[in-house]
Order: sequence, then C-alpha cells, then structure tokens
Amino acid sequence: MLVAFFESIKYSGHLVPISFLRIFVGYYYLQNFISKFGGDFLVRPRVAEMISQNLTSSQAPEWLKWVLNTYMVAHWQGFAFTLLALELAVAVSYIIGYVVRPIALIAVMTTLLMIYLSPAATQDFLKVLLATHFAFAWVGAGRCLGIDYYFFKRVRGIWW
Amino acid sequence: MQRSLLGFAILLFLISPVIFLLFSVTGGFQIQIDELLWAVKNSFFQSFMSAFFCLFFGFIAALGLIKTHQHRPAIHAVLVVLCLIPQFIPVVVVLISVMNGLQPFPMGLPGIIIVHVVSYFGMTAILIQNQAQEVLSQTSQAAQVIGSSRFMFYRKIGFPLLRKDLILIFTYLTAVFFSSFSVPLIVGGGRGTTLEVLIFEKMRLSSDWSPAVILSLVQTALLFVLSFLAIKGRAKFSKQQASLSWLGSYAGVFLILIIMAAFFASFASAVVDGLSQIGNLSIYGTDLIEAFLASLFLAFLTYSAVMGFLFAFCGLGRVPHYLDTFLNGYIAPSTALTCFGLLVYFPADFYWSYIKIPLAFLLLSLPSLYRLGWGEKLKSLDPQIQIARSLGAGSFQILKKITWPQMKSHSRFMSGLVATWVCGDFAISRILSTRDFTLGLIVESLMTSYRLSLASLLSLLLILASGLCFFIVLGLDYVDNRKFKN
Amino acid sequence: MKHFILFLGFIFLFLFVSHVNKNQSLLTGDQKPVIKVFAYSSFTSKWGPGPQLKTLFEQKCNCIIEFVEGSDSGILLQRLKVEGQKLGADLVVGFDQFDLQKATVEMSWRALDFSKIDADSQIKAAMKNEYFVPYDWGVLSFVARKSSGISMTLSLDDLMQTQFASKIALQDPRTSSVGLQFLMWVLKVKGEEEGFEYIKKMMKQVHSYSPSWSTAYGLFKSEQVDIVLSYVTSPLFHQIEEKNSDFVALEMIEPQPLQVEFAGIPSFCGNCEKAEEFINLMMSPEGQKILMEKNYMLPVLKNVRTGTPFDSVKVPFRLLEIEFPSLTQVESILVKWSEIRREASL
Repeated sequence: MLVAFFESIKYSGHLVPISFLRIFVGYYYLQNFISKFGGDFLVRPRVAEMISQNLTSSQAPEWLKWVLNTYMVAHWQGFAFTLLALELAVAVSYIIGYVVRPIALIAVMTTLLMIYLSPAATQDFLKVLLATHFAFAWVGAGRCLGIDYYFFKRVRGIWW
Repeated sequence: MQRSLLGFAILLFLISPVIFLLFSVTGGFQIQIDELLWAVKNSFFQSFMSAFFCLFFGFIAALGLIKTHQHRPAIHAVLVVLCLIPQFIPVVVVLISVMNGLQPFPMGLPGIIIVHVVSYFGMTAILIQNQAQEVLSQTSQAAQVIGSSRFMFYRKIGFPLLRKDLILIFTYLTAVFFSSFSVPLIVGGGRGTTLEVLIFEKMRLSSDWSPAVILSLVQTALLFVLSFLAIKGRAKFSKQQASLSWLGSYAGVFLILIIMAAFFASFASAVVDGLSQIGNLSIYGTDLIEAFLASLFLAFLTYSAVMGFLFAFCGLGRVPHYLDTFLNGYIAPSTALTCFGLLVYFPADFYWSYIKIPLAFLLLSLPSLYRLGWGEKLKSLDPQIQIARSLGAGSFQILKKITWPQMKSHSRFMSGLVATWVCGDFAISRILSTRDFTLGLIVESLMTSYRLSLASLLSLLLILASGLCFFIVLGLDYVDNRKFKN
Repeated sequence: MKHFILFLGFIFLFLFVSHVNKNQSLLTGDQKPVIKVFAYSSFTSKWGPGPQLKTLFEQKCNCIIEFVEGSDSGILLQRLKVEGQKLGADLVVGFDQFDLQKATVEMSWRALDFSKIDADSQIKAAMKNEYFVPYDWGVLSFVARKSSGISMTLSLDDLMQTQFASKIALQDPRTSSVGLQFLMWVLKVKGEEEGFEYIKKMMKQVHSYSPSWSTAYGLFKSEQVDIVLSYVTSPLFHQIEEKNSDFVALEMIEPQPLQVEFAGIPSFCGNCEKAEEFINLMMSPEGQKILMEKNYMLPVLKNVRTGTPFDSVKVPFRLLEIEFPSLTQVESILVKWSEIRREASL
C-alpha cells in the first residue's frame, strides 16, 4: 500500500496539484474539527442556534426548513454529532486519500447544508468549497498521493 | 509467530477478569470449607439433574424435530422457533411464567431444575437433532432398508454412535447450569445456594472480595476438570443428509407443544394482569422508545464486538491445542465478579456502559459459544487450511478466502444469539450502568417497586426487541449469502 | 461501497469514544454544576421520589441532579467504594441502620447538623449519629389478604402453626435488609439462644428465603404464599394504586421492628453545599410528602401525614428501639444463620 502511495505520483502525476489542494482542504477540515471538538459544539446547542438564526432568511427549500426546524433543533446533539463526524471523515479521507470520491459527495451535501445554515458573510467561501468538492469527486483526487490508488489498481470501478 | 501471539492474546483476554481481580483484591483469601462443600454439592446436584432432565426431554423433543425435518418443513420451522423462544426471552420473563404456571411452585433445588429444563430443553432438542442428522444419516437408510425397528436401531446403532455427542451436550449443559446465577438466586429460596449465588452473597456482604475470588477460581477449576474428562472427541460425521423421519416420533412434537402452550398461557395471564394498568406506563412517555432504541443499539454493539472477536479468532487458522482444551473447559468467572472487575478498571461515566456491557457479555459468553459448536466447525476446516498453507497461502489470505467465508454464517448466528441476550439483560446492566436506560433495567425497576404486572406487560416489548434483533441478524445473513452467490 | 461504509463506521465510532472519554465538566461561568446522587433503583425510577425531588430542586438551585443507580443499599455501598470518587459522588441515599456501621468503617463522611429537624418521637433515636440523616422510615410486619382468613393479630410463635406451613415468604438476611431486620427482630424479642432455635424451626416452616424484598413480594402477589414480610404501609399501595382493599398488615403481639432509611454526604464530595441543600429539601414538609407518597414509607417530620391516606396507617403501639449493631455483631449472626440454613438443607 505504501509503495502504491508513492507509485501514484508516477502514474497519476497529472493529479499532483489537485492532491495538494485535497490535502490542504483536508487539513482545513481537521483544524475545524479540532476546534469544534475541543470547544462546546457537542455540549451546547450551537447548531440549534445556527438553525434558528439563519434558516428563515436562507434560500433552502421549504421542506428542508421544516425538517430542520421540527427535528434537528429538538435533537441538536445527534445532529451536531453527525455533522462533526462527517467533518472528521472528510478531513481524514482527504489527508490520506482514502475513499475520496464518495466522501467528496458527502462533503458536497454537507457544504450545501452549511450554505443554507450560515450567515451571508461566509456564503461565497462555502460556494467555492462546494465547487472544490465537486472537482475532487469528478477527478477522483485520491488516486494521486492517496490510498485510493492501491485499490484503483486492483479493483477499478467508479468509486476509486 | 504472529499466530502464537494472537492465540496467547486471546487466552489473556479471556482470563483478564481473573487477573484484574487477583491484582486488585486484597484480603485474607479465607473461605469456610463447610460452606464451600455445601455450595459445591448444591451446584453439582442441580446442574447434573438439570442437564439430565434437559437431555431426557430434549431427546424426546428431538424425535419430534427429526420426524418433521424432511417432510413437514413448515411445521419443523415453527417447532424450531418454539424451541428457541425460551433462549430469546429474558430470564426474568421465563421465571415469571414458570412460577405463575406451577402453583404451588417448589422452591429450592426442584424449582431450579424445573426452570432450567423449561429454558433449555428446546435448545437441547435442536442440538441433538443436528447431531443425529450428521451422525446417523449414513446408517439409517441401510437400517430402514433391512427392516430394523426404531427401538432396535437406537439400541444397537443410534445410541452407541450418538453416545459421545450426548455426553458432550450433557457436559455443556452441566457447565451452563453450574454457572447459572439468576435462576438459583431467585428460585433457590435460600436452600438451593450454589457456588455462583454464594459468590454473589460474599461480594454483597463484604467489601473484602477475596473469598469470592477464591470461590470463583474453585468453580472454574471444577468445571475445567469436568469438561476435560468429557472431551474424548466426537463421532465422525457424514455429509450425507438422508431422511431420518422414520426415526422420529410425533410424541416429541406434542411434548414441545404442550410445554410451550403451558408456558405461553402462564405468561399471557401475567401480561393480561398488566394490561389493566397500561395507563400507568404513560409516566415513561418517550423514555420507553428511547429505552427500546438503546437496547437495540447495545445489542448491535455487542453483536459487532462478538463478530469482531470471532473474526480475529478465525485468524488463528488452526486452533492451537492448548487454546482448544482451555476453551472446552473454561467457564468465565462469576458474572458479579466479572462485572465488578470491569467497574474497577474502566471509567465510571454513563457512556462507558455502552462499552462495558458488550465487553462483559463477550467475556462471559465466549467459552459457551465455542463449545456450542463454533469451535468444532472451525476445527473441521483444518484440512483445508493445511492444504492452503502447504501451497503457500498467507494467513490473511487463508482467513479471507477459506476460513471466514465458511465461518461467517455460524459466527453471525452466535453473535446474534448474544445480542438477543443483551436485549433482555438487567443483571449485568444493573451493575455496570448508572441509570435505567434499557428495557431490561426498566422492567427490573418495575419489579422492585410493587409493579409486577406492569413488569410482565413491558417484558412483551423486551421480547419484541430481542426478536427484532435476531431477525435482523438472520436477514443480514440471508442478504450476505445471496450477494455471495451472485 | 464496503470500504466507504466501514470507513464511515470507524470515524463515527472513533468520535463517539473520544467524546465519551473527553472531560465533560467544562465549568465555565454559565455552566451549571452537576450534583451526583447515588441511590437505589426504586428511588431513582420514574415511580420513585427521585425525579420529583430532582425537578423541584433544579428549579431553585441553578444546578443539575444526576442519579447514579445501584440495585440496593448493599450493592450501592460496593459501587461507592469502587467508583464513588471517580464519578464524584456528592450524596448517597438509601442506607438503613445496618449499613451505617459498614459505611462509616469503609469511607469517611461529612458531618451534618440535625438540630433543626422536628422529627417524629418514634424516630428520634435514629438521629444519634452525626453523619447520616434519616429521611423516611417504615414498620415491618407481615402482610396478608383479608380473604385468606388469617387472624389479624399474630405472634411470632403463631407462624409455626400448620396453616402457615410453606406459606410464609421471608427474605434472605444475607442479601436483603428486610430479611436481616426479621432475623434481628427474632433475636431481640426471644433472646439469642431461643431465637436461633426459632430460626431452625422456621427453616422448615418457611416457603422460601428470597434474595430481595421484591422477589418475596412477587411470590405473595402471585399467591404462591399467604403472608410476606413487608411494611405496614404496603397495603396502602394496593388501596391507592390498584383500588384493592384486600391487603392488610397484621398486628404482631411482640414489639415490631423499624427500618429507617438514611442519606449521607461522602467527605470527597465535590458539591457539598448543594448536596446539603438537597438533603434540606428532602427534610422539608414538601420533600417529606413526596418521599412518603412515592416510597410508601412514613415521613420523619411530624404532621406531614395529617390529612393524607397515610394518616390511616395503624403504626403499632409497641415498637422495638432503633439499634445500630456493629459490623462484627451482624457478621457473627449471619454466619450462625448460614450454618442453620446449611444444616436444614442437608
């Protein structure tokens, strides 16, 4: 696996710049995760506050607003835990380059959700991030400098 | 080298509660010999008699299963479910039903034997039927052709061939009943004090657990010797699956139906009592749903833990002789001691209960699972593993391509069985958790606060959770098999 | 797909374990302190007084009450010893007079001031210690059904009659405090020698010695036995909750024993003042009423029963004095009882 990791530069060298971007985004997510986990994201209803403050003025579809207001506010702890776990999954996946394609699709969905839940100031950045995740999913960014190359060699298929 | 280390690690893991306690317990390590001998006498008497009657009724019930196996598959399936129901139902429910059904209920050793037989005769019947199918298939056809009667067949061929398997089942049952805790505690009535109950009394009475640790080691040693004496190998089995229905009898079917009908009738009467107070359950509100989900989640965690361990065990390839002998003889130390050992060495926060409880079940049930046929199945793969190894296959390759695909289904069943036990547990959960977060604990709380009828009613929900758990496991198995075939 | 699911599963599990292990006591300025109360399961269950007391207390104290359960006082003490300090126990509820000696020997406790408690005269003797405050009490007696035709007044010797053969449910004194109460009652009333002779005869007469009060009461409710050792307030539960007046507490000719339940604060408490305030709530008229109505035990404070169904409970005129036997005394009595039990079953 380790050999395949380095071998990938030779055979998927065109993806090296994307891989650096991928690792950088992964590191960004890891930093976010650490600050949220070390803080009170799981202990205090921050995500419920986010929903109640920003959702009404967002462009989210009505059904999503209803679901978030009815269920996610009441069960904010489970929702916060899931969001944080997905953030960690994205971080680890992007850094080591493992199951990058499906994780990138998950990241697209969570970033979209964050666009609806975040204040206007961060919308532009989140939209760029959304496009980045799309790009990672499209090119299969884990195939260079990532563990995905090991499986891509053996298994092929759309997920690697 | 890696496999030796893995084998040693498994051994160490299994005896870890004993090691924990030996290091943490200080005290005189003094025991009263009279009391010990009395408890050992009670333990042996109730376990031998329970195993004997279980085997007796189990054999008759097995005749019913054999009769319906080939030609009446639907009835056979129903009978198997009926036989397994007492295994899925929490012990407290079995106790309530049996004690309600038999009035006056004989407390003491007779009562313990009755409850044990009702709980295990069905499982014994299934074990005997499986063994009979494997061992007698080859000879039964020939005997039938030459016109042998059922009685002559069993007398001359059946029992001699099945003898070793019956002894193995008897020993297994003896070991299970020897270490049984809730049944002797509740039904013993103070007269049927077994070693297990004595250990609990010692721990409860005094903070010096050293006598309890000594008693536990004595119990383990006794069972080890007993099991060691009984391990003389099994009869060779054939792959041929001939019809044995001529060897069966409808008497077995009637026995199963009568016992289970009586069981359900007495359980139903307890539940009907509880229905009149169903409104009182509103005090729990959504807590019941959360408890239901928590019980299922705990069962899932336990299932994963047991599956993970069995997977790692399969990594051994060929089971080392010392480990096989150990597992065939070893019984985990007393439930109470194991649980207190985990209390000592794990953090005390509530969320750690989700780790301590599955770990406790893993430690307590593994030796039983090994002896329940899982070990035999693994050992039957030895020739294949030997060939693979001689052809140069690596350990992981053997595990992935040979051992695990063949052990997966059986492991899933075993893990599912443990998961269903967890669903209905309250004894271990009461010691290891800090609040009533599962259905079993809520039922126990109801029992301790005058509300016995409600406890019976809520145990219906417990049965639903246990059943759901088991059927999810069966479903997983079905899906996996289909996927594998395709 | 398998890789993806396993990876996600691993991440979720890792986060769960990390979250569990993380030190959650982030006591910032606006974070409420958590008071950990160790109690037995019927106190903390939905039916018990715990939840109502918790709600009342949390409204005033700006804190959170968290219950840690043990199944009974014996197991509670063991848990306290093993993990009390790790968990940060602030208050322990549910000891009876037989546990106090053991509790004092095995751990140290915070001294409490009882001077302001206006206790019932029958319970004043329970105040003769500086660490444990009594919060409720009960009188033990035999409970029977009126329809069974048993005489309403009995003596201990009457229990040896043939009508009671295998019809009495008692508790094992080694695992149940009620069982121990019965044993001490017999020895107190009859003297040690005669008392143990009585116990020998009772071994043949009794239906069973159950490991706990609830198991014995279950036998009685399922009509396996005609009488059970319980509390004089037990019939009241059936009258109020089940609308069933068939149950009655028998009046014994001998003075009847009392069981008193105590609460104490371990010396390693983290929120000792809040724990004391919780005890003050338990000892207030409001708290005593909740304890009385939920536990079906008698209140310690005077006049709390007045105007309630508990006023009709006939507290026997003759009661035994409350005693606090020493650990060695209890152990030697239990050893003797175990020998008798062993001989009886041989």
